[in-house]
Amino acid sequence: MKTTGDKREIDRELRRQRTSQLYLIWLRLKRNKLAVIGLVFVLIMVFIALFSPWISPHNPYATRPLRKREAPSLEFPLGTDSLGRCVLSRLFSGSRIALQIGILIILFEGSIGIFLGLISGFFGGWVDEIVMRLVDILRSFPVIVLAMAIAGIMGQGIYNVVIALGIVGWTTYARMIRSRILSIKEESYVEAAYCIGEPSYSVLLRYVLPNALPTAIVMMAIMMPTALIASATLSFLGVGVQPPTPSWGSMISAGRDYLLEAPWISSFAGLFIMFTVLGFNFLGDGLRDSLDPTTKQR
Amino acid sequence: MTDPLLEIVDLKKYFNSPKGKVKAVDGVDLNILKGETLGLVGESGCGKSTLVRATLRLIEPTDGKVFLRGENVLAFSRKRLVEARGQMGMVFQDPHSSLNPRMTVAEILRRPLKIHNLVQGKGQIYNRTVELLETMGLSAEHMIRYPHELSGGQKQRVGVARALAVEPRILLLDEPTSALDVSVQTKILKLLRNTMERLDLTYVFISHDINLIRTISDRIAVMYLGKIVEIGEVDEVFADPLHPYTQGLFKSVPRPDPEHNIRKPPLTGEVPSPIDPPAGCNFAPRCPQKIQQCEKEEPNLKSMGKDREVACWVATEKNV
Amino acid sequence: MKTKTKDILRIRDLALSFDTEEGEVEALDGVAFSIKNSSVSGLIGETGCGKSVTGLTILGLLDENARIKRGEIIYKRENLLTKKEEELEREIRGKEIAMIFQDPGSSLNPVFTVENQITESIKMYRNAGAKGNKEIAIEQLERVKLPDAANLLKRYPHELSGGMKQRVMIAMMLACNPSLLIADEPTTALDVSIQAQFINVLRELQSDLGTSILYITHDLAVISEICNSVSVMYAGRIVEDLPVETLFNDPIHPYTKKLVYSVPGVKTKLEDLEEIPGSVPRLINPPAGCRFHPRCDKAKAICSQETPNPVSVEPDHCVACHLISDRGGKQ
Repeated sequence: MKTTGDKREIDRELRRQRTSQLYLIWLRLKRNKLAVIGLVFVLIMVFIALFSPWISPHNPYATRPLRKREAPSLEFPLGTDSLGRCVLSRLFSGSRIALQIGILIILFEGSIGIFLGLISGFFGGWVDEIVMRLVDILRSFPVIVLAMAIAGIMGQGIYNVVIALGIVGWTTYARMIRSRILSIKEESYVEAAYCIGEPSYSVLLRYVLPNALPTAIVMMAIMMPTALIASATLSFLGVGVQPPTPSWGSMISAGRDYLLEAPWISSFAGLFIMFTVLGFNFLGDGLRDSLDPTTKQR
Repeated sequence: MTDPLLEIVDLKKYFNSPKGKVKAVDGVDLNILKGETLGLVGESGCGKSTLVRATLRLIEPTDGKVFLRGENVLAFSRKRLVEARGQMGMVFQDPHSSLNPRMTVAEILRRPLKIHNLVQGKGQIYNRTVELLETMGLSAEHMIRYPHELSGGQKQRVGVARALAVEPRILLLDEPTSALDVSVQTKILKLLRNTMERLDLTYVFISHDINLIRTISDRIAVMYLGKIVEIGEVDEVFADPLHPYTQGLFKSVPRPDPEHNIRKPPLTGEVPSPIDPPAGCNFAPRCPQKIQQCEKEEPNLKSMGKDREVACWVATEKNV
Repeated sequence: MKTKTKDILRIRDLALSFDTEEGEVEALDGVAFSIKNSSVSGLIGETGCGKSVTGLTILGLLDENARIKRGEIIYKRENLLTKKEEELEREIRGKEIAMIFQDPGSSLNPVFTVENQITESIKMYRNAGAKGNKEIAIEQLERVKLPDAANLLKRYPHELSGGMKQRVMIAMMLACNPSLLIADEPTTALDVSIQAQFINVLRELQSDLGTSILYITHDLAVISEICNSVSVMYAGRIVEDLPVETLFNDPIHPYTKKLVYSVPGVKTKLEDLEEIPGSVPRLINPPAGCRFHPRCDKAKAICSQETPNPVSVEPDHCVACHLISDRGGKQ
């Protein structure tokens, strides 16, 4: 019974159980129709982003001065823009930029926000005071205006968009994670951890963090659309991704003068944004329900 | 059998609240003897949970001393406190929230072994973990389980096993069975009793279930509003409770006996707020036997007969 | 069966299940018992045995994922299960059958004063004008021995202690003179001294008004204080129906026996306390036959194959156990 062979078996069983936990999460997610739709949307976007060079009908940068603002046709399924570029190809290519920026933003703001939320909730006292006041101050700025100012100072480009949005964006994570930590701290397993002699850092890493992780993941999924919209807004306002790099925001902006005569330039970009944002929203909500420990078991 | 293993001297814990100081524990003196089971009873808000938490420094006491084998735990550095916690284990009331949901039973039990460096090597740790589980009537197959896969009773047995893993001398049990069904309760109580005899342990058992305390304790301490009002051998206290609160409390307990009926409610009114406790004896406003002195002066615990202490002006007079 | 007219409520062969993500939970399976007019019946069992669900079913207060499979709940000759939601709301709930819950805090509306809430229910059932209603309210509060009733009316629920809230609930419920009161663990959240006060009030009211009470609890000691008869539930079935004296002196079903003798206080030595091995079965795939057989030390082959039917051993004493024939003479 106490042989090493048994032990290996137990290890294997342990791994099986871990995967079965993931499987349970998947089962719960699967029952939620909206979440599945969201997941499909997101997967389609990811597919497009990954394979855009191969599935695009044309080179997204190729201009055709003689074929400006052409209506959708077999050759150009979603028409052409003011420079005669293929809208569909540019949308496909733009999805790369959009997802890239979105992921960078949530990673950047997520890691700052989760870290600060974690230490402010766990240690409390003056650390908490400083972090939370900082959050209050940052949140009192209009986000887009602040981001424009930062982009103005640092110059334009993808990474500056990420930094500009992340500087305010982390506050949402910090608040959520902090409140989750505060409730975890009330659980008696934390008290029990101190009781068996766990040092603070170990309580933080082994007990508090793992239990706050689902909240963090859900937060990221839910914040993705916000990040996408914010970056599109910046592009629309002309301080984000710079032409000729295709971005959905700047495409809407570029087409807005021709909304009546060539609606395809702006509106399809808008539809793409909507499609992606909806996908992430549905998925985020679904994840929240399926990861939430309170919905676990009965 | 009679040396104090743990000596609590004038322990106080005040909390600050917007309405004023909450005197949760207000000057408790208590000796816990080696090898005994001390039952600590009282109604909610009497400070029994705060008392054990302050003793373990899970919350820092406001004032007082706690001597563990002659050394004051409250003066210990962080490092020595960790060592001291290796001698005192605690079992929590709610088995559902006292186990980390993200750890398997094996990990839960391995942590104390590693922290206190009690056994070395993977094999040894494995064997010890199995041994701990078997002590609590569980087996190796439970090691791979997550807490949510166990029943309430099994979770609580893991909780006890974790407390035992540090090889403590004394176990503080905070309502360990009140979240469980009676049919499961007995199993845990019997396991606790066996373990106590085998490992030569000392128990402090908190409960609001007075029938239960009577069944398992050697001595009983009754708390009211942050203070101990009566303490003594279980049989004697039950046979002849001296403090009016103890008398009322015991009479309030419904007994599983159809012949027995609580006719007149023995205690009227409700426990006053610990923010502004009454002057004099805390119990005076509800006490049917109070005299003038009770509302002016605070009674201290006084020895009354063999191993019996009572904090009451009236009880003193009755005895003299 | 002979005492039909004297029963205020009769539940027959009630089966109910919940649809959950893990499968169908057979929460109640053939529950049958009755409550005599002007008596206090206890429904006792451990966590998850279905005792609360039974109470909620009577009033039609179940969650959406509940499915009633068969059975009937006869209240004064009417089957409550066939009634429409609006009919229950209009004719039964509060008026005929009232219910109080474990957590008095969540049953009272935090944004209204005690007066608002009590007079509201008085208005609905026996309106006596603004002044009259207030008088009735004060009278009700005094009836449940709440001191300084006039002053209490102006307070909000959060200003009251748990014991006071629970008594306000009782006052509210009894203001409408229901014929049946369902009390679901009303004292579980209260301290013993407050519980003693509450039980006393309830007992007095019951004998004054003659209200029938279904008292749902897991606490045998409380049962012995207030009930006349008890139904013991295990895993969604009633295993034994008996007068409260018999419960403590001569229980028959192995589960009842173990349960009674596992309570500290019946026996005062730890060695004498009974333990039941294993734990309560999950009701997604309940054990076949008698649901207690996996934990029963007297189980025979038949126990795991056939569901035992309740057998009457004495006029008021029914047991559902295959071993009952062993007692021979008792029948």
